[in-house]
Amino acid sequence: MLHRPIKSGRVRTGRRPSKIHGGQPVRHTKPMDISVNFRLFIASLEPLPEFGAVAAIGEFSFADSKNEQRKKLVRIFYEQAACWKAETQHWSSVSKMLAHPSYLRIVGLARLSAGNEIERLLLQELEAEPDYWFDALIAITGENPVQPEDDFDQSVDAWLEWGRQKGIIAHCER
Amino acid sequence: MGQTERDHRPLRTIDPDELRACFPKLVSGTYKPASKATARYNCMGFANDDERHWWEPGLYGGRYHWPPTIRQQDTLESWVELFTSQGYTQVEGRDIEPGFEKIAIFVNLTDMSPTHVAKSDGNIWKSKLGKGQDIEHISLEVLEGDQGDEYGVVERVMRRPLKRT
Repeated sequence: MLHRPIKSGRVRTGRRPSKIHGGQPVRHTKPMDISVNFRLFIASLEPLPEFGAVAAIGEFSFADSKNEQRKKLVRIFYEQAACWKAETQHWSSVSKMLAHPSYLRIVGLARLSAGNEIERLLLQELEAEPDYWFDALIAITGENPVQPEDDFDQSVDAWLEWGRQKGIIAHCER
Repeated sequence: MGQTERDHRPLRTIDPDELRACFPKLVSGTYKPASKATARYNCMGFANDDERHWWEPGLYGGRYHWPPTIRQQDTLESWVELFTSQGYTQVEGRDIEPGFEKIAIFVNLTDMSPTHVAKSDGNIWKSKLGKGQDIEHISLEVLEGDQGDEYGVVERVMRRPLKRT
């Protein structure tokens, strides 16, 4: 029930004290001060923002959390990929490379990924600097387009073609 | 799948300063870059004149290779077994010998696991640095040590007569 303020700041309830307390008049010894922010009760006449416009405000974390999550995914991916490449570049064992913490972290990024983002990042990396990303892609996608007899270049080709057919990476003119 | 797309871009070949950060003894005059970086083959493939496969035991698929008759373990013993099967015999001398091909197996001092193999054609030592570039180097010492990416120590040197072409 909304209270209607009076000039003195007191509240009038609209009920007579005698009716409430069995005919005995009750008096407040001290008036109660209540402040009411009227703006809270005035409905805005502004139209609601269009769908998708809220993210542009930039203050509401619930609205851009998807975008923030994507940025976080991309940032972690490139950090870990750079670390993995730097620390394993002179190793002679692929088995050890695949057990490197940064490689495992990249595979684990799949849980943050939406819309094939992690697959896109891996395929772009594979295209730019062909490296042993095959096992990460198998772990994340559950697929393996590489034929058993395919060599390194054919393995790269098979994954890039897989990505193009799935619409994850763009077709390129060659 | 259509036509195979060959000649993928190579890996980024690191500059001399970056290489020296990984191998502190690789200073100017001790080595010469001999190729771009690539992940197609490793030092073991390079030592066996195969630049299309990554030689490593226990891995499945056409991009890898390991002779089926050699034990499928990444140990010093299996590496020695492999080179023995190629006609190499163990020697003491670490120097280049004209008329002989030589290989030198490096091991990690912590667990004695093989880390690298360099080869010589009788003129100079050559190495494929993991997924990095091939280099020619004046000695084995420039890759020995435990700083950065250095490969530990040379544990075994083997040789065989150079094939005449």
